[in-house]
Amino acid sequence: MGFLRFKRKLYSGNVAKERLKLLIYSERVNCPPDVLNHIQLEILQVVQKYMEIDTQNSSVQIIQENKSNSMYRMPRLYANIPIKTIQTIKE
Amino acid sequence: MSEVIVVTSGKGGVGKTTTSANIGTGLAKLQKKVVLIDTDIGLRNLDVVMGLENRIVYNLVDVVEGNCRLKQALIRDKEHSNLYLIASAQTKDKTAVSPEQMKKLTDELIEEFDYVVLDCPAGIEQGFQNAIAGATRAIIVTTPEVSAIRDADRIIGLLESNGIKKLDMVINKMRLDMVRRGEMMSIEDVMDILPINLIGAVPDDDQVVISTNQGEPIVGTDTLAGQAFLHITQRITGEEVPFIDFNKRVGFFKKFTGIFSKIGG
Repeated sequence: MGFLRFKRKLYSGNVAKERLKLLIYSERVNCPPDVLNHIQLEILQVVQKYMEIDTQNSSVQIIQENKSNSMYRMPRLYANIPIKTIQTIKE
Repeated sequence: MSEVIVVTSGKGGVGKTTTSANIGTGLAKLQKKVVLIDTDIGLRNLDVVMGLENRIVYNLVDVVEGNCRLKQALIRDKEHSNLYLIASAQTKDKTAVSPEQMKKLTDELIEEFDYVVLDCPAGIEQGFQNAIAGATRAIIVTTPEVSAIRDADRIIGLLESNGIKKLDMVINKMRLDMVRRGEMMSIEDVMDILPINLIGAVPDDDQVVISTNQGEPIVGTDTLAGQAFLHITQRITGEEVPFIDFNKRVGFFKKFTGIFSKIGG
């Protein structure tokens, strides 16, 4: 079953949808992928000052939901950063 | 209420001309007075899809340049006396018509017709600007493919910034077998990405090719695509038509094949 679930993720219909979402949302706000990459790099650098994070599995994306509520229709910057440990930094 | 509807997509080959022909014919079947305009200057196509290619004397550029009266360029449909076509020019250059001239033309036509349906060329250059100049409403045609959806999203942005607020989409060439296998985006997937109202989905049906071969729009015939286009047309006029559940149909069909395989086995 685990194998089946893994395979399901790779169905090309889903792949297409996810690729399009990333592309279209960044195009709507006129933010080219390389700008988004720079933003991601800098955000990760800042966060790394305070905690140990999993940079490999981090992502910064622009997302947008087609909800009638106008607040949710606005594009949003969404950062997904797994935390390994939180260091307490003493000055 | 009269409306000027532009059928557009951005990407080529998604079925704008087929959709235009079927919407125009469908509206005529619903007793509306309709004029179809092919705005793709240099690449005339709507005439041959409608089966009217042998009747064209004057075209869009002739009207705009004053070589003929508007009435002379209105070609009446073979079957529906309330349906007319203005063909595009074959040879003239693409800048022969301006958005202002198109707006003036559609303003004049809307006085006499219930619906003016404009078949927009692919791309976002002058042909697109011409086609949307006088439009009050847009039908965006897309297919469940990444390129078509990306272009549709750009077109939606351009239409909105040009003040066209009434936007609906048609998802064309749906392959239900592929959707079921997860190898094609579903209607829900496309709706999730594109932020506009769905006015109908059309299955990829061999009958569409056959009807185009014959120069007779498929709308209203007893085929999946024919019914889908009829429903789209009805929804354009404001009628509420429930969406066909394609999956249910497939389920029904499967039941039969199930029976056959039992008998066979």
